[in-house]
Amino acid sequence: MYKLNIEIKKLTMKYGKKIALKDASLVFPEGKITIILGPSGSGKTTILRLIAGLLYPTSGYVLFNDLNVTDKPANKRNVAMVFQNYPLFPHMTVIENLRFPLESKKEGKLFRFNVYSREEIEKKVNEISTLLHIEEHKDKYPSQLSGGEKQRVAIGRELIRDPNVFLFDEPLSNIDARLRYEMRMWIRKLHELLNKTMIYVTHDQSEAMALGDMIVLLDDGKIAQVGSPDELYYDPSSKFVAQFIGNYPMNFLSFIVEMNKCKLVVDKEEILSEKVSKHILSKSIENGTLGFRAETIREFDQKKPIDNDMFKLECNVEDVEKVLDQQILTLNYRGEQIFYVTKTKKRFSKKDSISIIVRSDDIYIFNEKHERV
Amino acid sequence: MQGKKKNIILRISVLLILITLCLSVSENEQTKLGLATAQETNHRIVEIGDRFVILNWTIQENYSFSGFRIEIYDSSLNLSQTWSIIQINQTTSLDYFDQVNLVNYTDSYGEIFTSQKEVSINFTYFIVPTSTKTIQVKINGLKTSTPYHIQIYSTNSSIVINNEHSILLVEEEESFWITEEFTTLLSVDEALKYSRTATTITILAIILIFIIIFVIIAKMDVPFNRVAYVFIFPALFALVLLEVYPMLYGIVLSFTSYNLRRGEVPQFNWLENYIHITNNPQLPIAFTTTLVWSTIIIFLKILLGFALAYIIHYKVKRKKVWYLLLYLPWVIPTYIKILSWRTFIQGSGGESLFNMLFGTNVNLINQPYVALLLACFVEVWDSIPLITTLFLGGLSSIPKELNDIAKVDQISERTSIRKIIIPLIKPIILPAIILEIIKTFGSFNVAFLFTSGYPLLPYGTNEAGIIGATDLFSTFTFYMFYQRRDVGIAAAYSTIMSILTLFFVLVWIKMSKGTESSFQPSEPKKKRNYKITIPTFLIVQAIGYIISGVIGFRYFGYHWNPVLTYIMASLFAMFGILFIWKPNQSSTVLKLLLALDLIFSLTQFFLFQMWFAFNWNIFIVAVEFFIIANIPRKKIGSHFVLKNLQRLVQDSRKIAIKTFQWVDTKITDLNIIHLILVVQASVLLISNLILESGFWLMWIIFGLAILIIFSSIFSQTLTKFSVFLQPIIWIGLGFGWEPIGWKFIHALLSIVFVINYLQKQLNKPKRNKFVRRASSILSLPINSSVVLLSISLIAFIPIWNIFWIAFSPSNTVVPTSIFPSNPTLNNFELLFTQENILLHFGNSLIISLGSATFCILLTVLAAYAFSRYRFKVKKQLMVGVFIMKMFTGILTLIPFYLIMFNLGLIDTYIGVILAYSTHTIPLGLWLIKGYMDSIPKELDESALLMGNSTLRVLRKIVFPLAGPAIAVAFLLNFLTAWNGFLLAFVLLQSPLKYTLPIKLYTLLGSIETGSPEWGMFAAASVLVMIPMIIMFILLRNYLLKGADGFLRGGDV
Repeated sequence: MYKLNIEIKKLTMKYGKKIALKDASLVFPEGKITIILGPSGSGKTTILRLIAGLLYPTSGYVLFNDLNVTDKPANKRNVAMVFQNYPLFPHMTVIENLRFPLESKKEGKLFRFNVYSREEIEKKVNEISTLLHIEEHKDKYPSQLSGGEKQRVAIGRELIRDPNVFLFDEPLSNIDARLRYEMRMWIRKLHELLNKTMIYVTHDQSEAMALGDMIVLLDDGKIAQVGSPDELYYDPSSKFVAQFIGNYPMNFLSFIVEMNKCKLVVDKEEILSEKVSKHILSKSIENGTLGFRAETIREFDQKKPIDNDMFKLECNVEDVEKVLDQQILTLNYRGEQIFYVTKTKKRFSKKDSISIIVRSDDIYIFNEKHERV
Repeated sequence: MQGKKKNIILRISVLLILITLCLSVSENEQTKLGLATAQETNHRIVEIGDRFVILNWTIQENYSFSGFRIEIYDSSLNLSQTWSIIQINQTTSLDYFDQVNLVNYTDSYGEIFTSQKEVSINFTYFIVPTSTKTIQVKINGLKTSTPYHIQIYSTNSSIVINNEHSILLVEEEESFWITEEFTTLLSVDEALKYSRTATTITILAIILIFIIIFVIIAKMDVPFNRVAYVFIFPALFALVLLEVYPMLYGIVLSFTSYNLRRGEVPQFNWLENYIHITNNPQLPIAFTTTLVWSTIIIFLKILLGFALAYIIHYKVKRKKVWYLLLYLPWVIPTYIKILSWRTFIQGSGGESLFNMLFGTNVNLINQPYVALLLACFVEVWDSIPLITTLFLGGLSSIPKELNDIAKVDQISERTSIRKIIIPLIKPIILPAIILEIIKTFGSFNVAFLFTSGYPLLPYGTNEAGIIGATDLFSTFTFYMFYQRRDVGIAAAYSTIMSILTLFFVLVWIKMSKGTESSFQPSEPKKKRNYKITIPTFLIVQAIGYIISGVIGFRYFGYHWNPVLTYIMASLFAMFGILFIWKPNQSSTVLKLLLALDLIFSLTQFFLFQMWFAFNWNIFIVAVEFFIIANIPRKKIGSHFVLKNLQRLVQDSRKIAIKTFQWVDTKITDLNIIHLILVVQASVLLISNLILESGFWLMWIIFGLAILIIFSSIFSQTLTKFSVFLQPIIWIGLGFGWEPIGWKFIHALLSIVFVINYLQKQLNKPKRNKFVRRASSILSLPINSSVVLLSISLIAFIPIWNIFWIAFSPSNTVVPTSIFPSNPTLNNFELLFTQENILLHFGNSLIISLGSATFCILLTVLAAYAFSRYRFKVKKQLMVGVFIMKMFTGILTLIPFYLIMFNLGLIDTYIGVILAYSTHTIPLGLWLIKGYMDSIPKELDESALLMGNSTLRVLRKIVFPLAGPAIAVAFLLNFLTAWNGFLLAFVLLQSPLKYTLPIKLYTLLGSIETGSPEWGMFAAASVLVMIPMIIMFILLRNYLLKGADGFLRGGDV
């Protein structure tokens, strides 16, 4: 089976003065799903469109199996792309939509003939429609289909062509939540079946985590981190990654180093655990940020003493949000907001005071350039 | 319609004619035949052409010969070629080459006759009577650019008739009479040979340069965008070749002595044409007419367009029906509409349906003001659908919630229009309105077809002809070109017009800045530089007044009192200087000065006809008023005069406000009933004034109406009694025998009054079923519907008139009943048998289909490129294409004609097709691009990813989806060519190739034509109209969907 290794080299894209993508270099491994994740406007779709050949880069190269294809237009790259708004041709029925890519395949230099005969096309269309469970919709027009059905047909239309690579541009963001899980699973199955290189763009991290072998996180046109989902979650390389990945926003507290002592900016007190302080001092940075996830915080228990490995913060409860079995508390630590997620049965109310414990292992330290140290 | 004022104007104009005659003594005029001068000198050559010569000579009292023999020597070959004979009394001339083919002569009274050509067995000859004083001979068939020697001998000859054949016998002895030497001119073809090669070379050069530029730009852009250049190339190329090149060529032509009649090699004469123009007294007249015309029309268009759009958008239900009524007149060709208005208003020499309906005696041939106003009216009515659509587009872009909020917040309708609607639609509408101004400024059709420039103005005479009161700059230029064939001079006129248009175009560019599709918050306005503009204006005015006072220019300053002009000039100059020092203080007094100037300028209208003397300064003053109104107010300065003046103004304003407040406490709540009463009273007043013989009873009723209005203003209970006015009016109408039109208007108003009256009365708890049902009907938006209905009905009256004429047997113009009494298809039969109308249908169809197909091919490709690619200079190109749209029509007509002439495409279908194909490219581009923008671009992208070529994507995906917009763009061009008059009129010369508009025009002729074929014209109009109306009604939904692109394609 033909597999494609895609590489981008120093790819830069400018729209007028706005830089959408800056010096991105990356290898998309063959036969794997690579997720491009990032907030809106970070250049995810730009990368995808550059790979597809729908955009021409301001500078840089796109390589397919070490072959430079930057100058090749989209219709010569044999790339399949699934769009967010499932663009089915509204003037063709489902079956005509499926047939169209096969009818489009032509060969010959001056006189161009169809590659597939009519019987072959019929056979392939039937195969695909059974695979996608859309036999009963064959003669409907796209406007008569539901969102999930439309996206299935759109994917089917790309499948039928046998392309080198699949590009997904936020394919599930217009589909309702319940169906999205189903489609996710379906795409994973599809990948197992085809075993082709796939690049999947999304802004939804849960989708990224669920699908990806490898995640590329983009921040404002630059690649922030590349790695597996676990790497991104447990070992973020920068404050941005730490902030972006995870169900709840990470808590941050600024610290400052004065006279070889590590203090928090809010209260100028030395409450950090030794391990953390040592680590900071060893890196010889003057100020920075501490980060810890809301899920890792524990409430202080009188029965369990704190060791050097932890430190304690005395907070007030500012707001309580109850989501089914979870409670999300917004705490106020001397003017700084801290989120705390817990599953205790204990009820909190506003203005309660609460002590929380953070373990040193759960703390990420970032320097003033927001890089992890 | 003018009444006694007409007499005054007549007297004044007679006076003016005398004055102008005195003034124009210096300009000696030459009569066409030059007979007057011929009598003084013995003989002379009147005109030398390329292949002819015209010669005059006088015969003395006593002569002893019976004829002349004319002999011509070709000096280059030294060969006597021709001789022919003019026989006095009963004898003859002979001419075996048939070269003398026109002989004119005058009798002793100076009247001109043309002699009949006779043929004898050996020669052809002409016979002139014995009383002949002068003889004029036109000798044809000469060689071009050859020296000739002409000799005329007096002979004695006689005709012998033998067996029904006549033989001319010429006696040997003859005496020498006159001799002349001359050289014939170059033929037009020869003279313009250079210009032909020049055109060809220029076109080739343009093609080459254009391609090179395109390739260079394309190379500079990224590879994926190169296909976009391929797509926009054809459209841009067509535009450059057929619009830009003619425009530049026109400017070049204006500096040459190019002439299509004289056989001269065109030469550069630099500013001679412009000097000639400035010496022409007709130019300021045409300019004045154009200015007044544009002002009136733009004002009315905006007012009416906004009102209609507002009513349709906010007031009535069943919008689709109203849309249909609104757009239906749009499909009727403009030329038919205009000609039908002419039929309705002017009829045959003033005998028309309009005059019959309203008892007036409107005659467009001799009532200047009436003709101008009616022409304006026709132009406005013609463009209502378009302008209303523009406003509707603007209104529909306002979020509905805003209107709801305004209602909930109890903001009155007036305030919400002023403070919400107008500010929001302004950025969208303003560029469109400037486009309308440009269009109105260059409008041609109404002035040409409706009045043909009539009524003629006695002081608008020069050697080129007479100018009329409705001759616009465009028609004026057209006559210069079409009748006089003075291309150089006409090109100079159109260059001046282009420069004026350019001014508006610059305003448009500044205003639109790439036309926004919705309201955009603009940056905080910088302080206007009024400190420079106002003094500049004032100084210019002062200088202008002085100069025009000195040289006696009638169109700047007050012609009725030169002293006042000088006084005002000095005041302007003074204020100009004062304004530089103390702008804020002097602005109040400046307003006073400007108001004074306005009053003086307007006074002139009572003394002179508008065309004779006009103060162009009015327009500058209006601009100044606008600028001054925007000056931020500051505390008035220290000077005591200014202070006192300011205080005086404030005090009087306070008193006025107090008075109004006091009055306001006394009167009752005014409502729609009062408004209707006022309208009724004014209609009564107008009808009484117009029908000079006004029946005394009607004047009493008018007095009664005024009385009722006043009483009902002050008392609510008396308002209820106002309903009794209606029967009184009808009694009056019953006795007064007013013409039926007035009765109809009164009936309409009465019905509206009664409905509103009942609405007011029944607006109480509903008791029984009948009252409830009646009130539910009454609660419909009746007033708005009546306004809309009457406006659309007015547009249909002339159309009905045309239908009536088409089916009526006699050649009458004025309908006598609703349906013709004994309808026939006689006119239609004549059309097919006598006029061969099918041929012209065919011509129109070939040209329209050709043009539309060509246009749509270019436009669709370009629109796709503009919609999907982000190539370099895209925005500039789009704006450039739009600017080109503004320089069409009469502005490029002359150079375009010449280019076609030089390429030999005159009188061919291809020439006309090329002419019309580029006309709608800008509009079509905008429309299709707007529609394509709304098609998700992922559709064609995914098709592209499947390996399709761009052309296949276009064919399979984009074209089917953009169908409605493409159809509308196609139709747009089709209709332009189908209805196009001017270009086809100029480019097509043989009657067999005439398109329908020209055929119909020739059936009717211009307004002064003696024998129009009313019946056949009407029948042909019906034939043209019906298929279009049917097609429109059937396709309306599809077309409306496509026309959405107008609204969507906002950003350029």
